[in-house]
Amino acid sequence: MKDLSYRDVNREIMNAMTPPGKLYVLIVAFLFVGILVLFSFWGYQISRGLGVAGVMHPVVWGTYLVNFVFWVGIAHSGTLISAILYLLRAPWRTAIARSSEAMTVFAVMTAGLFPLIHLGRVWVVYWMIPYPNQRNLWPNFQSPLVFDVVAISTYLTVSVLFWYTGLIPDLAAIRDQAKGVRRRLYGLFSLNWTGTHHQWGHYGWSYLLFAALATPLVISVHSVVSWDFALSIVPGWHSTIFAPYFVAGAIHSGLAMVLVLLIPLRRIYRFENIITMNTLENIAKTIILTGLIMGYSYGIEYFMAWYSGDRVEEYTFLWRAIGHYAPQFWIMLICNTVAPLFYFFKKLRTNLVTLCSIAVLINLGMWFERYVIIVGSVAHEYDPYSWGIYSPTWVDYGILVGSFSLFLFLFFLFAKFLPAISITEVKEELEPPRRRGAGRCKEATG
Amino acid sequence: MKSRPEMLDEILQSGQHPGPKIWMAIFGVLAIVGAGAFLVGISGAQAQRAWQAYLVNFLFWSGLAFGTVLFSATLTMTNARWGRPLKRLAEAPGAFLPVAFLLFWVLFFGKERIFPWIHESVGHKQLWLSSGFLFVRDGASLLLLTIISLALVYYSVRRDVKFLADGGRGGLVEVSNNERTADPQAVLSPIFGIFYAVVLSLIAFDLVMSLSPHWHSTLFGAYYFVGCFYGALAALAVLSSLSVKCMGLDAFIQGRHFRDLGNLMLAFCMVTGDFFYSQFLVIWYGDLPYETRYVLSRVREDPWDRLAWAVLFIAFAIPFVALLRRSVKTKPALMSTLGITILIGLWLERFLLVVPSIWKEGNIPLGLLELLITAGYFGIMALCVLLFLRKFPILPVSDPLFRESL
Repeated sequence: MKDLSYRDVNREIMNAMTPPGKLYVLIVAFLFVGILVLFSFWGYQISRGLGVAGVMHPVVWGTYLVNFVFWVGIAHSGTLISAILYLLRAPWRTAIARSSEAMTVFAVMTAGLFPLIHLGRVWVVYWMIPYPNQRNLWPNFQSPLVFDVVAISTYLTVSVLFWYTGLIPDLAAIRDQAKGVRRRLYGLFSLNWTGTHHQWGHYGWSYLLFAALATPLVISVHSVVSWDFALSIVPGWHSTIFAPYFVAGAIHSGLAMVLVLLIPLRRIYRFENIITMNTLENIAKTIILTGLIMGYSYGIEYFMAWYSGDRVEEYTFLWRAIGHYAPQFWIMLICNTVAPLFYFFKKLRTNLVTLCSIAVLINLGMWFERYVIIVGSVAHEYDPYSWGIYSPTWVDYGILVGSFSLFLFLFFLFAKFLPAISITEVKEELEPPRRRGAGRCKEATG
Repeated sequence: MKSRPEMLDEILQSGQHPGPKIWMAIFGVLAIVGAGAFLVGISGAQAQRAWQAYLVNFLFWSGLAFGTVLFSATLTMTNARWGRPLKRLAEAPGAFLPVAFLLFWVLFFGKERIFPWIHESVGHKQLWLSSGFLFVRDGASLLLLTIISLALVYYSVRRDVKFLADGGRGGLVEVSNNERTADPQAVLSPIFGIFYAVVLSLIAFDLVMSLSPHWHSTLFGAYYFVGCFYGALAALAVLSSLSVKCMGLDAFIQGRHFRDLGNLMLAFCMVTGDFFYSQFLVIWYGDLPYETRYVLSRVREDPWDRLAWAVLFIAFAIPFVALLRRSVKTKPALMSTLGITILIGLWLERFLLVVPSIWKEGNIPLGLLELLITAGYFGIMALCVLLFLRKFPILPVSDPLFRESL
């Protein structure tokens, strides 16, 4: 990346924003069909009732909750990369921060749909919002579900603002090169950015402030999600390790998703000079760390289930490994803890195919982890009389596929209409242009 | 501006800085006084107090030493440049680890006083909580972690000693990424990181959690080892300030290093606090008697509740507020004061975790005996650190990233 000039950076990043080809249109159309599936299946469910999904006593939290936790988890890597790594001054984050932040925003939006989908009467969702009302009805403030509403909406607000703040100078750069309606639109959203010292000063401070604000938020959001489970006394859920374990898991899946999305993006848009192999390697190394934390947590859960002497707890964990959901459990275990260990080998983490395949496996494993935890624990609670097995129906699967379509659809639009890599930050990493290279100096103002 | 060779010469000189010998004598006396107080304590009516103070100190000081070595390993793992001048200072408490390993075995003679499960039935855990098995597994784990720590420190120091033996004339050779990964430290650091988490969790479960044998918390191990790292950062702040003040390292350890260290301390203050809260909230909300007992006896019941509030303020609230300010983080004197405050807070926190489980009287047993035993441990630790720093270069002179950061 060091050999690039400011002109190269502009050109390479903005090249991705040229009018789309047929393949792009085809993929976006295909994903749009997926979104139609999501909304039509949801409509069908609203008209027929929640019974068309697989949820039934005792498992009333099925794949909708699994998807919710999965997508909230995916949303974590963006803030990790853009905020935590920014505070840690890790330079390799520069090239991937923008697209990870976009991923965060789209993943939170996708996640936010699921509590709505899971409602029997979605039109009364406003009952969750605490506001003075004639009926004197208030949500239960001690319920973790209310914590969730607050945490996730705060997180969405802050991540959108953070993302947008970073975009402003880049939008201005695009505005300066665009014509017609495009120029007016990008101009409108760049908030009249002219690049004065004053504006850069404010920009720097606000970016740092958002990074500092977003860091505790990223920890708190998934902690709150984990407490949806851990605060109850359901065996397999009531565990003090849940908050950090969920946060680590969220980052684990989020980083894997970054690899899954960035490796094709890098290839298609020829970003090899900017998103270097070193960046991808560093993501892989961070995944090793989160994978080890996952392994530690799984191990401690089993140890403590035995150590506690609580027979129900012990049996719940035994049943996880050998009961009805054993295949899902083993997929979870192998994909989340064993697969990332292969990144220890330099050969495997510098090969794009293995790098991406392992990342896909981790995403699969993390989805199944939520499945095992959420479904498995309530299916086999204290009273054998109320044990029951849950299986998703075609409505669940349709909505799952639809959620992936929605997420990818938004990401594809982003990659075409906004700079997928931060032009500003990449330039900050480069040597400033000198008078000797007059051509470069001229570009610097552009 | 000084040229690079001049800087290098300066490092070589500062590496041979002897430091006054009187401190060695003082620390030696402290160690002897502490050992004497402990021996008098265990052979008299205060045996229970002596043993529990011994355990608290063992946990505190060994955790600190492992934590500082983790700092050095983390620098290697992350290729971080900013903290390189602190690397050797972080490795110095590692010299205490072989001594800590020996001190661990002393606990065996006080097992009747320390472990309540020796005198009661613990059901299916009988084998796990048997003193023989406990000492074998903990001893083996501590030995393993100590060996890895020492190997890590050895490879770090060896290169510098060799470099100095060559007269430090090796020049500033650029080191490629491949050479960096071939360094034994690069291999040992992640291994150390993994074992740090596992072994210290085991220590937390066996030497702290098992003192209330019917209580358990899955996060307790992680809470313990994260706390050790937080304490290690505080100790490093103190050591760095001392090295600036007494050993003339101010050219290498500057305001920006203190600021970065302060930021890291702030982060781990929050992480440790978060791990406490994650346990507290889940236990409070679940409201299961076998879980709440341990917490209630410490935070709601007399006399321990006062100590719990003190810990909250000294180890977490005050450092949190102080570390938000840049003016505090860049001044060595303030950072060392804060570091000492945090260390006192964390010592009290270890005391609060251990003692209420095994002390049956209605008072907080904190007095001269505890102070002397703590002073003894401090003396041994300080002696080890000083001997180490006298023998080996105080800065990682041959570390390529250190040289780059110049």
